[in-house]
Amino acid sequence: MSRRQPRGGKRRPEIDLTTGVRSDGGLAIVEFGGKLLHTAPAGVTSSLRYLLARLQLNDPDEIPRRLAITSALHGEGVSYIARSLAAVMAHDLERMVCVVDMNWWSGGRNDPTSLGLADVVLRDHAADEVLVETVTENLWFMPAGTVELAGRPAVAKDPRLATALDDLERQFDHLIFDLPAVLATSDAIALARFADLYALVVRYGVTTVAQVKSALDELAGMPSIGLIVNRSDSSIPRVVRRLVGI
Amino acid sequence: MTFSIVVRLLETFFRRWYFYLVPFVAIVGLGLSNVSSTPTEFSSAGVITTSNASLLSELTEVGTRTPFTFETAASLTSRKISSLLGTDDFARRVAVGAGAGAALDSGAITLNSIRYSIATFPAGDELLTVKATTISAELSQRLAQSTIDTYIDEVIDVELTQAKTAETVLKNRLDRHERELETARTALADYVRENPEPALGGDRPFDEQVTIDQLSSTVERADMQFAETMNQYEEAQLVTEQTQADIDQRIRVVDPPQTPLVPEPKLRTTVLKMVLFMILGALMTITLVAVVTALDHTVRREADIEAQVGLDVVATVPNAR
Repeated sequence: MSRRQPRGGKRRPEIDLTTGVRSDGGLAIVEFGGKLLHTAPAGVTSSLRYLLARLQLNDPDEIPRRLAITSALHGEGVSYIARSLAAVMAHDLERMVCVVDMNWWSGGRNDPTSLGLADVVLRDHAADEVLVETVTENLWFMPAGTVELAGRPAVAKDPRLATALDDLERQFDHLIFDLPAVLATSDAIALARFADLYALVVRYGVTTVAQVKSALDELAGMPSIGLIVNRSDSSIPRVVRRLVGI
Repeated sequence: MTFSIVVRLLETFFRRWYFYLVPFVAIVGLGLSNVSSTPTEFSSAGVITTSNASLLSELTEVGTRTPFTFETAASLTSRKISSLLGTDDFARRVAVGAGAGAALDSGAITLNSIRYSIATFPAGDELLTVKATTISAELSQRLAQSTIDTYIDEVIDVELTQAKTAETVLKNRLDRHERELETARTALADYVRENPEPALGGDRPFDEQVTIDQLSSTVERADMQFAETMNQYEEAQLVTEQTQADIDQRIRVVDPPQTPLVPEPKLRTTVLKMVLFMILGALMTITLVAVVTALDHTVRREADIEAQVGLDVVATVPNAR
């Protein structure tokens, strides 16, 4: 069971929709039923494996149970990094991992008809009702659900959110929080406090140093694993890079 | 730090190399257009000898006193001609001397084009080459010749002015003294004629004798003044002649400019121009890249962001979607 490749052009890697593994060594998140939620090429998974290796360097259990992924600006690839990282963790570490989408501000992405975390917090739905199981063993996905614009700050501070997250923590080894941008909404700071550690995604060639500093100032006092530079893409030809010694 | 800047510059350039090459290509294109539209040129050169002192000036102490300098006579003259060409009067005289006065008046050529077409350069301590380059072989020859002639005229004009002025003043004084002498002689002769000497060898009356003595004394004084002024005038004439001879000895045309038969080879000029245009284009491209890099504060290198925010980059995810 695999996706057919288009004829001509560059050959795209095949995705095994039963395991979520790409033919190029990358990973994909596929919902039961065959719906593709996310795909990460080998280059991306390889970089995130380095990240995990660094975290486990001293202690294999060093990886935090609750890791928040956020950014300074909207559109820097927080969801992409959160899902890719979760896929790598579930696949490589064989631990129960759940991606918790807490980005209610990303309206276009969330299906207004589907249930999500917001329904667990505000409408007393059970977590099991909204959790999306994927074909990747150990990997689950919690959609954000929908919350009215005016109600979002209240959700971020709602004690029921803390309870819901505690319940999830009991079910999973690791929770990866997909948070909104820090400079886009102050709720990101409140949501980040539910995590043990956070990582700030910085989009290569887009985010300015000043914006990164501002975001870090907002998150001051919270423990961080560091920065994740996303979509790094040097335009310098390989020959020149070799000559210059980059 | 320097390495980081170089990497950022390279990154900026290669991100949109086609954009940054636009000024380079435009300038090189301009250079090609310039080179292809450059007409064939003809050069004519004349050689003159120049020296700071002549034998005559050393013997007679006549001529311009040049202060001690390490500069050779040729380079000094070269500099003088260049400076003179900077003046409108000299440049115009050169143009008129070359028969280009009408073209200058009509605006077909300008004083600047005259200036740019003439070059002087020393060819040794005392030899100086005067070269003119234009699109016409005849005009080049005439311009080079006119430059030499006008310069010599200028030197003669400057150095002979004093001697000529002295000569004119002395000539006026000489004429005046000549008239005074003539008047005194006429007055004496008239008086003697009106008062003839007494017959039979008698003495003149005392008052007559006194008057005659006075008139004779006036004649004698006028004669002395005339003789003295004549002497000075002759000396001034000598100085003028010596100065003229001194200039002739110091500045001589060795090789008069000839009408060139073949045009100047264009290859060297073409290559030189193209290299200059390429350097200019490269400078513009570098400037553009530098400005864009300076204005770009986005995150480009891990080391830069780590140093600036004090946090480690734990992963660099490639753009491999």
